[in-house]
Amino acid sequence: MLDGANFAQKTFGKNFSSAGKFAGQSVDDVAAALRSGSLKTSDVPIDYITRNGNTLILNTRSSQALTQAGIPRSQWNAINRTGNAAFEARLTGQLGRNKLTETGISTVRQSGGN
Amino acid sequence: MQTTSECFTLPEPSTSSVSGVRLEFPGGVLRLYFDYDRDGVIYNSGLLFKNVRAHRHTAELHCVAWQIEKSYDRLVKITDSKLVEELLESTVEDQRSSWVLNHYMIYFDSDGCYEVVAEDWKVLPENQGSLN
Repeated sequence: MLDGANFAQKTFGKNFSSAGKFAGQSVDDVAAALRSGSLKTSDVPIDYITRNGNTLILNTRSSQALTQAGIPRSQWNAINRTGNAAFEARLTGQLGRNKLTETGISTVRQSGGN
Repeated sequence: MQTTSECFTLPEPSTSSVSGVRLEFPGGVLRLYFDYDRDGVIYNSGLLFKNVRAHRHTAELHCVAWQIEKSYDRLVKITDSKLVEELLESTVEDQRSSWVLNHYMIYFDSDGCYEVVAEDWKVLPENQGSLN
């Protein structure tokens, strides 16, 4: 489902938000937990939206952790949020503020890096 | 009906945040600090609210669409605010005009929505470096 999906932002912070499930942890921490098996792939859900034929990932840090852990996209716990007004609004905000079209972007860089 | 007017837009997308949002409220004055990436360099800044009478934070997962649509990365002022109306209703009548109650709201990606009822606001100076 997420093969070929793009991101809706150009950069991401190395630490997870204090308001979310992985508060206090970094992308590296979650990737390490996935590698060690203390965290399952299903514990790291990836929300996505399909807009005009483009599939866009909303959880950039989680997807980076999964990628770092070497887990292929085909095994990710992908959750379709298309049509949910709050998720759609967030996607619109991400794309707009990052000056991206509905196509999104295939790669992201960590904030503070070049 | 609640309507919004834009006051300020974050210098860079909140998706580039390194440290998240830090709220400080020792009383009276509330400060919201945040950082962001500009061309690979991290900067920080903040918003200061004066004569604060109420405030609340709603984590991202619990935010409703209109909050995100209206205030994603931007500070807005809400007119005909239900929150201000509630505050006035619970205030003794002779004190209702003692304070200027403006309802401000801003949504930061991944963090959620901050709402502040205050007299006024201003942007704090930008500095290089993250909040941490």
